[in-house]
Amino acid sequence: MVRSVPRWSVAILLIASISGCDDSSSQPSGRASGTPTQSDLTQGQQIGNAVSGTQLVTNAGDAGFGSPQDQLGDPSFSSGTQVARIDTDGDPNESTAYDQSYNPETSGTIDGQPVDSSQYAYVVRNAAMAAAGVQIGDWALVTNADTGAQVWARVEDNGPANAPAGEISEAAATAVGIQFQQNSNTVGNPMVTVQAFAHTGSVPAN
Amino acid sequence: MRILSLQLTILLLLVANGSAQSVASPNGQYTIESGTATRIVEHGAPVFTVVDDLQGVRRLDVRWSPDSSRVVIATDFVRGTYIYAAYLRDGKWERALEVDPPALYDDLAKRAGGSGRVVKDLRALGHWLDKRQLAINGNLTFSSQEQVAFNYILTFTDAPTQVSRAGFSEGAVKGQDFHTR
Repeated sequence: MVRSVPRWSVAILLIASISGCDDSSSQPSGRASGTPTQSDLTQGQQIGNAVSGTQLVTNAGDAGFGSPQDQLGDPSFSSGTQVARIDTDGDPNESTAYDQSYNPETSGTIDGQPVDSSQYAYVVRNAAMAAAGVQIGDWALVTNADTGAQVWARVEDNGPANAPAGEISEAAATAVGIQFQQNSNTVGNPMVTVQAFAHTGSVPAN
Repeated sequence: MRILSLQLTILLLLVANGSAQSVASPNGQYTIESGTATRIVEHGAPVFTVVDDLQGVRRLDVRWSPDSSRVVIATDFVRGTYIYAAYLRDGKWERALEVDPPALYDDLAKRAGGSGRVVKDLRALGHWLDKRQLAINGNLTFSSQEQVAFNYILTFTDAPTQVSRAGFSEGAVKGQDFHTR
């Protein structure tokens, strides 16, 4: 995996806007619009389920990043117990039709691509974490405060400056046993703690 | 046609690299320069790092105070703006990052009738009221998609502060007089 600063992404966006391209990532299936396929019809059904709030996401894949190879020492930031919130950003199967706050991009990238929330356990940074020196790519530990289940994650997105820590990716939620709907609402009010470790982005995974 | 496309691409890439901007202080002694980090540069040499990590930053905005002793840098991400500050104390630069009280979003929501959780908080730097106070405008988006515009004053407190392990002076800047619009 190559982690890089997406300095060219702005240029790509500008080029896309000038050439009048559609933002294909706004399509639920991540493809350009055209004649609907069977897959599109299935996707449409899923949109209906998500709006009605009945579809649960129960298996979003494994945690993705693994766990850090080295001991990380004391955390630089601890959230305390917070209500878990789900960030669906970067998930190519998500869209604003499901989750109105969805964005196809994440601050972190993997091989130049957004970090897929459904595949990678990540946490969302806020200003307090930034003030603690936590940077994009650093390791974080997510704990389900109700069950004690834990998963290692990385910091891969930036949220509102003053939002409470506790916003985690779909994969992180699944890994610690938190259920959520495709509109990103959790089932119940699960609680989590997030600990983040500054300057650990270069620590490799097992 | 290909040459035209290439020229257009190069032009756009130069524009895109506008984040690698240089903003001079009013007295001309310092500049803010950005590459992978944002630094204060004095006579061509970097002297202080204000923002370590620009990954995910879409836009930078810089405001030097009229006396060139303070600078505020707003870093815009897709869903939030983080506001960094640097100031001279006893001839040395120190830095801070604005962290507002935990109840701020609830307070603004109550005043303006927003509901749900805040999913986006974008802020824009305004003008200096004096050498210690900068006006700031903001816009919250709630999960209900309601939007609340607000403004406030970022104040350099000049009080003795504790420096965090990450090198940020805690409480050196503070948001005050929040109002919804």
